[in-house]
Amino acid sequence: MVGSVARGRIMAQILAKHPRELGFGHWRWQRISAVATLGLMLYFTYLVASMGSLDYSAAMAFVAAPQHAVALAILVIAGLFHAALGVQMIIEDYIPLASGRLALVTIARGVFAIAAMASLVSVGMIAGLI
Amino acid sequence: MALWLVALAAGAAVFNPVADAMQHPLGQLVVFGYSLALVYHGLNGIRHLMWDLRIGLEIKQVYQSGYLVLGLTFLVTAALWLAV
Repeated sequence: MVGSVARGRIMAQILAKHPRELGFGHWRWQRISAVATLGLMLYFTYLVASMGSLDYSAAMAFVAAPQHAVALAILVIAGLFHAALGVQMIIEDYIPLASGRLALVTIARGVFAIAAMASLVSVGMIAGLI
Repeated sequence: MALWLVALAAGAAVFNPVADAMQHPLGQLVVFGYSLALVYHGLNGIRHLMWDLRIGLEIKQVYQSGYLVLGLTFLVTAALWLAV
């Protein structure tokens, strides 16, 4: 049986060797992005619900307004970051893979990164910044 | 969301079909389901953050907050759609 002091020392050694492999960073960032997105959640859901009733010129005017452009940009960054972490967790916990897990996680991250980039560029274009 | 923004930036010719699809009853059903899932995820996220703060970890409280989240999800989603 390993005592708690010895266990702590072993954990410290693992952490020194593989600083990213304990998953604490993932857990922490998942919560940070969750709290960051939480405040924008009602706003976003309201926007999703009203999307159908906005025509082209109304939608352009809405997104181009500085307060909405900034809110959407934060939402895209924090929300898709949170989504990427969540999908990584689903892959790691629920897809039984002997190999290729890292590749799958990387692909998922790439998809979310592209979606985030495309959204940010779009908001920039609509707001007349690009 | 990303699709909607990209379509909007691409111009009216691309945006209008997307908006039409969203206004179609089936599109509205999809959007409504999405909003329902978002509200549930947000409320249950609060529940999870409370657990992280060691609040409500008794099995009875876990059940209570679960039903509370479920009920609030429908109330909040209905309120949002009525407000739109």
